[in-house]
Amino acid sequence: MAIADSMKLPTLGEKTLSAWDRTFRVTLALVGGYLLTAGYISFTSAGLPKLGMNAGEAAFFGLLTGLLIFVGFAVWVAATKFIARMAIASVLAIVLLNYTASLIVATGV
Amino acid sequence: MQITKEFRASMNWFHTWLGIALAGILFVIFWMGTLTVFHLEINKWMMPETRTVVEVDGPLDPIVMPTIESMDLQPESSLFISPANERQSLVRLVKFGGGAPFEEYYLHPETGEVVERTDTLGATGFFYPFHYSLHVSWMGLGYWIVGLAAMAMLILVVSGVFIHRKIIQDFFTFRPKKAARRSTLDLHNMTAMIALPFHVLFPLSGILIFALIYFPNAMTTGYGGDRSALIKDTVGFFTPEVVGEPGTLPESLDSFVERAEAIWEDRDGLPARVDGVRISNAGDAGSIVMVQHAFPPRTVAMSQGNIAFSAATGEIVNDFVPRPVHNTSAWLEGAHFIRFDSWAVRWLFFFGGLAGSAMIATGMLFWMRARIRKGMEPVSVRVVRALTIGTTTGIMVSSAVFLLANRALAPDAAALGLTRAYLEVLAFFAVWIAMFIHAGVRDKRAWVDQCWAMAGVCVLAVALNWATTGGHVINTLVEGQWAVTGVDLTLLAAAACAVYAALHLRSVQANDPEMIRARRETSASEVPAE
Repeated sequence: MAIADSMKLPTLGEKTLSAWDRTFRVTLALVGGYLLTAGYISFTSAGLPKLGMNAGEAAFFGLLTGLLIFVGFAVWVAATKFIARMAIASVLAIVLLNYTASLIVATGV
Repeated sequence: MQITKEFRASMNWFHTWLGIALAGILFVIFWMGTLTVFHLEINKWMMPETRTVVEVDGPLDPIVMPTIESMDLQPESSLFISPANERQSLVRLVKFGGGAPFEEYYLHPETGEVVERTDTLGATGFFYPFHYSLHVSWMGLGYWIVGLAAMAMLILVVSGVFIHRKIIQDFFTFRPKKAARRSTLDLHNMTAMIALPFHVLFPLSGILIFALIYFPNAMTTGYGGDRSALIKDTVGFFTPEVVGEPGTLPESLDSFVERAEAIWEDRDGLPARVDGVRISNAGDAGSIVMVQHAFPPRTVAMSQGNIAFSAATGEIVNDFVPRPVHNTSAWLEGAHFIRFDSWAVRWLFFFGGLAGSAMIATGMLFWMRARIRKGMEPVSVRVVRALTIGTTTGIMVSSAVFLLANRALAPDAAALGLTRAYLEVLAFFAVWIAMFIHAGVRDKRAWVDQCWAMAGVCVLAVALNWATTGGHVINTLVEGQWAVTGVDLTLLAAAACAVYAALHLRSVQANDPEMIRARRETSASEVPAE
């Protein structure tokens, strides 16, 4: 039971969200989700060919799976109690994915 | 993971906010997409010259070569030939590139004669681009708005599923006799559940179709940003480099078509069909002829590949076969474009689109009723109601007016500096704006008014089609002109639904407390002072 509880998605509880909070969450879900998906696609487009996959296949694989990630991310943004941490983590993830992709392309690693 | 009450509550507000923010745009996209399911059939209705009923399986050379040979081809001119088929009765030939204006010809499939079509954008040129770009071309903004709406739609579907505790039960629940808010919500849930696979498939595949617009850098990362390389590797399209020496047209396009079909039939073990023939750099010695493979029978696919031949030597320059992951994407895109042979499923898509439109409209109505209950300001109620009516029934009326204008305008009509085709477009937008204004003035009564308008316009369109072309439902049916019969019958069915809706709403509004109060106030103000 304890393990199941800890794995539960943190939610909003009894808190009523202000208009600003909701607007921020919707914006983060759409814009942040888009940037995260784009970063993920860049990462797979750059990284999977290094594992032997055709570059075009890698791009479409990234796109198909990226859209699932986008939806999951948006749902998480809507439901989480810790929106500030979520926003910071999203920015870090976007930067990391894009940076890693460009590093792979630049160095050929 | 257990779905807690708090999680459901968060999905609820998210679904509501996102839904209301984009409901209008989503309705327009769904409505235009629904009409686009039968865009080629609507084209035949709007362009009577194209209502041929002929066998379309003949060779291309005698049809297209005379017209091609009469063209002034530049080294970088490209040609695209789309053969006639069951739905498109004329052979389509376009010339583009090479610094010359775009040219488009429609050729009779038996004689090759250029058919002078009615000057109209038709469903393909108006409803179709409205669906994927909202006719907003400035900096590609329309594509981005539609993409945003598609991404939001995916979230709306998922959040909508999470909201319901008894989702399977919702599929079978519709209580029309209950309070309006309850029955509206039931209808919203039911139309969502009935067509749930469509509501997931269409936004997902729509984003895939324009992936290179939405994720231009991300998709080309593996190609160093080279978009052309990605396109050549994933779909086999490419434009060869200009050699710089004048070239001659191939003597026969059919020879390339036959060779390509033989290769595909040998490879797949299925009858092959050509979707299109493209000649790149037609005036150059390095010209290529690319033959595109249509979806085989009993499959769904955007494309099954293509073979490019050197126009000069006939040797195969590129033989493209789609790879597995891209095949998955092509399947989804093919489903979106209805690239398969099944009239039953095509009609299913049409009703799925109507269900989606109804889902969005009932969502808007439910939200509006909920806000009125919570005490929304009367002025705000009026504005929101006007926007809802204009977006839903308003666009339906204006779509019917587009067809009516097509039959009403003279073939050589021109006014206000606009050609006939753009006068039809003007009629659409003028009526649409008028519907918003009418809804603002008439408030709740506008629902009934616009239903009557819809019925009248649809019947008038059918009558005008009969008057201007001699074609009515019975004789087009007898002649085998299924497309025209289908559009006429659909217009009449729409009129019948609009009449039913008008009568039903009128009886509902007769017992509506708000309307009764408004009528009393109107009567009291008309009683002369003693």
